[in-house]
Amino acid sequence: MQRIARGDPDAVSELYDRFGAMVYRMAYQLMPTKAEAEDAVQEVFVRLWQSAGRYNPDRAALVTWVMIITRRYLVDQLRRMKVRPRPTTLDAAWQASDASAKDPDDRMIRSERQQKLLERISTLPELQRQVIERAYLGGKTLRDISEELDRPLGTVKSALSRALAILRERVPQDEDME
Amino acid sequence: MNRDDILQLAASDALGLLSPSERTELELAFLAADASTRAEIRRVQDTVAGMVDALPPEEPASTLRARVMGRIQHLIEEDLAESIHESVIARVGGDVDRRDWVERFMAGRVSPMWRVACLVLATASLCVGWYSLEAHRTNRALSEYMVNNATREFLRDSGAFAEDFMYHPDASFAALQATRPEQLGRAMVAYISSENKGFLFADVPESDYRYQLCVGDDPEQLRTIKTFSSDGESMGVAFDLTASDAEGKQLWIVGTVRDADDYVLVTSL
Repeated sequence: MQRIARGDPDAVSELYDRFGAMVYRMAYQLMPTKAEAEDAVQEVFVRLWQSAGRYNPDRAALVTWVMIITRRYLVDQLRRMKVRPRPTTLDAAWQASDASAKDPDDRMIRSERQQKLLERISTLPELQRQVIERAYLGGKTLRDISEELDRPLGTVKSALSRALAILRERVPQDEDME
Repeated sequence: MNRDDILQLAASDALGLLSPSERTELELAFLAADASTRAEIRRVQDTVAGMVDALPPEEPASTLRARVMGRIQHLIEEDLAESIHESVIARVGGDVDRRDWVERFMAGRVSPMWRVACLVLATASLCVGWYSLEAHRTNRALSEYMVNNATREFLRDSGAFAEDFMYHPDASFAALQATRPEQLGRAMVAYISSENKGFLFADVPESDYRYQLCVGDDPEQLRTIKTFSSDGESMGVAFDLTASDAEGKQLWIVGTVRDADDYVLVTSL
């Protein structure tokens, strides 16, 4: 990140190689069209380049920092465009993806690790799952979710914290996180 | 804000849901937090970041990489061009509008490298300027202090006549400097312009020839105002000199030591 902050284009290139697909994956799920997802990826990398000097490895792992910058941009765009992301649940997202799958074999290899995480999310208590999905896929604030679900804000906050605590216990941290 | 509140804020931050003020609140809480809370904040945010694995895989178009790199390269070149542009403006002046770059700088859209470079350069310039000014003032004060003090010391030692000069309100003092480092001796002069008179206190080498006290700008065209001998002891010489003759001129002691060496001491009046 120091090389990026110094304006080294090769360093940006390496950052894209490492995180480009991940950023796109996130953008694809939250943006209404592929074109807008690609525009979003471009803008996210501009933001990463511009804020590289502020990255503090003691504060967050690099992948976490990249994902936070990505989500900030995407949620901001969602609010500006006032559109709903394509799928609002993980099940719907996977169904849509399966329907357009071109290379099922490749999908199967990838899905092992993902499947574990999905199973763990699906076993969360209903409220916790709803809060996670609406916040993560819908970019909705906890206050919005509280109103949509007609639950007190404190209950929604607790549900999110508990859900993350459960996922953290069950999901071993990916090697990329370190 | 308790630990649960901080962790809840950290989760919302990782989800991209916080406003700028809430993010600031979280960063302050992070800085104030103990090591275990900090580690917990990191774990919460890592967990949210890891949820990207729960999303169906989607591959970006193969052209996207080139697009992203093209845009970044364009911004890097734009930044570079802007900074060169600014540099040229700073060197040659001109009526070029600088607001755009300033606005970009203030809005944080200028690359961190250039922002830091500008701030460091500005700070360094201010520091060097301030230091030079202070050093100049100190040197000048010290120099004046040394010359005046040394002159006063000489005059105090030379008796009542010299003391008249020393305590005269219009008296100015100057130390004559050797033109060559190997020259021995020293000399001080006190001059009262309102009375057109001066007093030379000299400690110059013994010579078979008389020394000349001269005034003038050009070493080849000096006017002698007094001659005096030296037996190697400290001695005082009174002389007359009008203020108009002295104005802007230098005062010289010129002599010959051991039949060979030109002996010259000089000062500005």
